[in-house]
Amino acid sequence: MRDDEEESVTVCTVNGITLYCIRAPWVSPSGGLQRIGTLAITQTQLGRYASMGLMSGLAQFQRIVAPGTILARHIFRGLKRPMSVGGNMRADQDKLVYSWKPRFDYEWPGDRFRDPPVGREPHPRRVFVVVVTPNSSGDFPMVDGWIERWNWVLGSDDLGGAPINYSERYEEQLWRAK
Amino acid sequence: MSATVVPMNGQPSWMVDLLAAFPPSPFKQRAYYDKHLDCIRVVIRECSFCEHRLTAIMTVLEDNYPEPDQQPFVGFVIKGVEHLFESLKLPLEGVLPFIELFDRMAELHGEELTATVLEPYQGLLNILKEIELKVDFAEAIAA
Repeated sequence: MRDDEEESVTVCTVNGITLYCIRAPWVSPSGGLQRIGTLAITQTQLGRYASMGLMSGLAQFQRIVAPGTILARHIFRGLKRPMSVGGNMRADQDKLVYSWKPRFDYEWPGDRFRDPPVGREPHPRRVFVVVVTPNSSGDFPMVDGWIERWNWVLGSDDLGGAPINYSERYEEQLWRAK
Repeated sequence: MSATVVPMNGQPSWMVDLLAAFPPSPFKQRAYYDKHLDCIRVVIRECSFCEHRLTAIMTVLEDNYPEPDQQPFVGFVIKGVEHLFESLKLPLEGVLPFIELFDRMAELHGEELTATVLEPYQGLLNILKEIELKVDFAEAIAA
């Protein structure tokens, strides 16, 4: 295991599977203890962004998700939309959504081997969300949740750092930063 | 021909390792099944985008910083694909033209996906018709 402190990413390998781990607020899906937990994404899943040429998504992982999820303002549970995963017809109910308002956005145009991602000033009414699935596999005891997806959405007018219509989009708010 | 190794200026070692294991490919317009979130993602431009939820099963992607001459909408997310395909009596396999799927879905959910709701996205739909984008479920299995 090694640390890239400045990037907030820890790399570890479990049974031959490489994981990129970050730190984030963690509340058990039942709404229990709040602590700093570990979210992870497999190298295979993150590598697909590169393989598919979705380099801005990769830049956002590096520059927003990795250092920023620990600063999330809210955690919501339940996506309120049809979702069937691995035989679970209500997989949407397990999903957690972290949201906050990062100071910068990033895109990664040009030569990816020579040029760094480009920072941009985000739209004022947009917030960033990260969708997470709580870990249910005993093979990865150090992982609290799996990072599935990240993107911008419109922000709420009445709750800073939360997505628009959050009470209609999600089952419940599990946690908010004090 | 020998490969030239170019140092990635300022990139952390984990990113260097990731891009060595998964070399970046040029972006191409695509539609693919995301099995982790049971949705089909359609993307026609590589950019930072904002997701707008139109209905419980459909989201549109808007480029956060389009050029003045670019139409802003760059993709769709069709959600609840397993259930949708069951309703449409379609198998979750093979290759399917996206526009054909979109039309059948719009018909099934005609009360929500009305012509008025879809009107702002006609430019995107026209592009998708022109490029004849297909969803390849084999790609999802490999994910």
